[in-house]
Amino acid sequence: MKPSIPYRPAYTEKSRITTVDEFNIWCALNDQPFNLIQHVWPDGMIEWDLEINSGAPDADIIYGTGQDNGTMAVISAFAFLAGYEWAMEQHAAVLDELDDDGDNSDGKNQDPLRNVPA
Amino acid sequence: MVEEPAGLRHLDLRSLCAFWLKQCPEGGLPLATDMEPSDLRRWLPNLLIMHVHHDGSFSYSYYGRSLARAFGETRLGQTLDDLPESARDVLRQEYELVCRQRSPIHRTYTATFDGERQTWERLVLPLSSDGQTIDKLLVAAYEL
Repeated sequence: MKPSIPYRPAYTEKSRITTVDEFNIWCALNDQPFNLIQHVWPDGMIEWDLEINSGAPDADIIYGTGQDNGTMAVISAFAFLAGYEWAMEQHAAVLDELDDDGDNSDGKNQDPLRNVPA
Repeated sequence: MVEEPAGLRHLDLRSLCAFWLKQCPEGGLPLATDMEPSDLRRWLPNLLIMHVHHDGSFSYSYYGRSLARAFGETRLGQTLDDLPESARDVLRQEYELVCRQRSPIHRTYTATFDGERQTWERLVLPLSSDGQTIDKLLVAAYEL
């Protein structure tokens, strides 16, 4: 399937990215609002989390990789992103179909994810 | 034809500039999506990426570890408006100049960081999403 998105999709990456810093700059170069950040749990355990809109007032953890190893966290984050992109494309296709089906003015067919940042 | 700015001193900045020049297509600017993070590996700790918004504002979308360590915090997600006024104005003028000139610029400056007098050299390189519109700036800074 030809990607319809203007950035380089996560599922096309050739796994040359092996570190957290490389993943984070890949996100910045590809307009992806994500960053891997290190989270320290109260028991001292470390986990790499995927954060959305880092540094902004609406920053939030969108996915916990469950990994304390940076390379494994990058693999998990790319897997998450590939699924995220796939789901967004599927969702957009469904919305297109709903649009084609007719009047949307009563709000019943409004995008339920319209406030989810992408 | 775009060339390395005259007077660039730090060897890592010169090599980064040479890398960027190699990425330039004829008559255009490098695509941000063509930049391979693994190719940027040697400069990553000293890099930052500024996102250039449609309204002309700038925000940090990547902030290297060495810069965060040197300046006390990461500025990831912040805009230029979040900076102290003196720094904000200098940086805005610099970034706007790169967007207008569509070519790299560098600057050397001396300031007190953490009680220590330091001299740094910065290089600002424009990037594009479509080869024409500048929507990202690749910035590198090294202490001299």
